[in-house]
Amino acid sequence: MENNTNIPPKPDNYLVWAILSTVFCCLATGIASIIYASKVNEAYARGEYAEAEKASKNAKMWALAGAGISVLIWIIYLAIFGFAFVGGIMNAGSY
Amino acid sequence: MQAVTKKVITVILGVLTVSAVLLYVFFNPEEENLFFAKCPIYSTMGIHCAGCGSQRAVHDLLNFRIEQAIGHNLLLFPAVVVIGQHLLTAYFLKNTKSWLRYTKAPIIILVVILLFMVLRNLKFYPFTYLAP
Repeated sequence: MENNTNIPPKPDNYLVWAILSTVFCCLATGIASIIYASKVNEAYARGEYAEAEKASKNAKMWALAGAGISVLIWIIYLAIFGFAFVGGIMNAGSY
Repeated sequence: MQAVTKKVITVILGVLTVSAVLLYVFFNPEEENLFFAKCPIYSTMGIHCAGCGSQRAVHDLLNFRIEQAIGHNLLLFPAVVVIGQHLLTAYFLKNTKSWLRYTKAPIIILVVILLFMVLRNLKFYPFTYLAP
């Protein structure tokens, strides 16, 4: 503790992204991300900086996973909806 | 090269955000025949998750109907306030501490979300108000 200059800056815990991902998409990835966010804080408070860095990477990964899954769901959804829409128009045209 | 990639990503995200906001301002996700994706958890398991109702709540908020927004998803409005405060401290009020920077913030948020999710699935008064 006497050597304050050796304390690295606190790694980002990506809490905003975790919240956004929980609210708008994916409960599971969002909660995983929040848990890792809290691990970042706890490890950093205990002085385990490598551990905090690792948790930060995991928090980021789960936040990105949530974003990726939500984009994927929208693409699949729009693909299905898009086909139905085009089909509807073509059907309407054939009458 | 990397700076260019970053700029491109920023522009794409910006365009997506603006179009999403416009989409949610003008279209009500509650109308059945529109193309809004339903919550995958509710569709498959029939459980209201913590995020259920957030699309409707965003539509309500963007049209300044806070009461309806709270009715569709109690936590969305507080979430917007908290994230708004965080962004303010990040860009303007640099001497103020963001609520999200407190050590206990993630664990408190986790408990609130899980509690909310359990309570909003209870099928009796007064918890029925929490359902989307």
